[in-house]
Amino acid sequence: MAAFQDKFGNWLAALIYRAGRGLILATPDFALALLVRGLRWLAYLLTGDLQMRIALTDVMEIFQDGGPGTAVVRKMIRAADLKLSRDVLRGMIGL
Amino acid sequence: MDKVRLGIIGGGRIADLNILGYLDHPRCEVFAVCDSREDVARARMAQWKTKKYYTDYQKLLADPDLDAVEILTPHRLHCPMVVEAAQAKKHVSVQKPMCRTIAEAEQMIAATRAAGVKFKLFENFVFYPPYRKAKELIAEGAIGEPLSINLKLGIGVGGWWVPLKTWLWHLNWDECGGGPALYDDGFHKMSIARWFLGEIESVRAWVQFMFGVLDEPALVTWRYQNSDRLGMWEANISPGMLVRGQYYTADERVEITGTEGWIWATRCASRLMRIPALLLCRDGEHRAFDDMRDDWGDSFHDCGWDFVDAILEDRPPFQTGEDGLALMQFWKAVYHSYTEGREVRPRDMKA
Repeated sequence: MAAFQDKFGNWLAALIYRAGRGLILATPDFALALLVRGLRWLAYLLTGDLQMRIALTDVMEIFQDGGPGTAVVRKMIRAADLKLSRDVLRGMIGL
Repeated sequence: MDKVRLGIIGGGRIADLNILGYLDHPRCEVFAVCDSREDVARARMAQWKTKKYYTDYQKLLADPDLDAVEILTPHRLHCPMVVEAAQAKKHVSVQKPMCRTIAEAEQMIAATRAAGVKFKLFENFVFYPPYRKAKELIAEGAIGEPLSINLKLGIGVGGWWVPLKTWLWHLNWDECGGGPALYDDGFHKMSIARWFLGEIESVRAWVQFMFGVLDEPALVTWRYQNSDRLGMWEANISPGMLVRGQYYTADERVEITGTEGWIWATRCASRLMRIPALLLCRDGEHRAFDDMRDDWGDSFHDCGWDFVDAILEDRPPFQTGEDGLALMQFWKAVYHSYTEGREVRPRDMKA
């Protein structure tokens, strides 16, 4: 059962990673800004977490501004892989 | 001059630390603040109890009540702002790294010299109390004749909140002037390497890139001028490691070896290891120094005091524009070494 859960977890993480990566690489900045704006309100309504709202506002403004900032984001995403991205996420949440 | 009236240009994250010494120096008044975002400028004015706030730095520079300015803006703005501050006859302190190119460094030095104002490079690591104590011990001969320095930088994730937009411009070489590890943070490391053991003769470096833009892991080695001393600096990021700390997640370990012992400084920006800040090993024993100020903020505090005292005492600040130029040459030598695969001399780096 544990092995199945591990396998399923890895598969799900890979799916989310590929979807997120594809979305950011293929979607124009203004559309991503709109999407994050919606996400920000949804997350705040559901959780009431102000820090999350500030962080998502920051992300939204990056895509609103576009230019060199989003060029760097896309460069990093192109160079990233699933394992490295998962390591960063795990480190940030202390797993 | 009985008191230095200071203006702060840039109210972002690092201003929380740069301001420390200015707020509690008995002969300094933080008189005005400027930020291009009015909400930030107003918030800083209320926090620091300044008399005025501006959103246009040129208007702040034109304020006749100000004696000096501290510049805490993105690196691409350092050169024009320092030059304009000098032309406005303000003493000027600029946050490290000094600028983006050697030509900019020379322009800043020329402008401040022509205006006859103080020009401080605000590099706080050389004021970190455990490093100061280490330097004092070395001067007293505690480790004999120094042979080498080993700087080890380990970064994880976590630490204080820095807006993502701020991280992003640090990753953009056009705006930053170099890589985030070897140039932006590296300015501190190159500064202490030079401060502890002297001028650099030649450099050899190897760099890998993570996420395409992070210049880590990296290994930089060098020889010192007029001696057999050697130096080594290893920069690493562990993306899966959480570092708990009040500030950035950079854990610095500095080891200086001499003919009779060695000194080890175990922290600076973060506190990954709960052990004394400074250890001295000699005569078959070790001695721990854990009775000193060792918060990273202390180094900013003392660095700020140095700028105010330099103006009041009419002496050069501890780190000047010329020091900044030497560090720019060190960085350019590192860059040329790892991109061209050869040993490079900093003094050959020209505008």
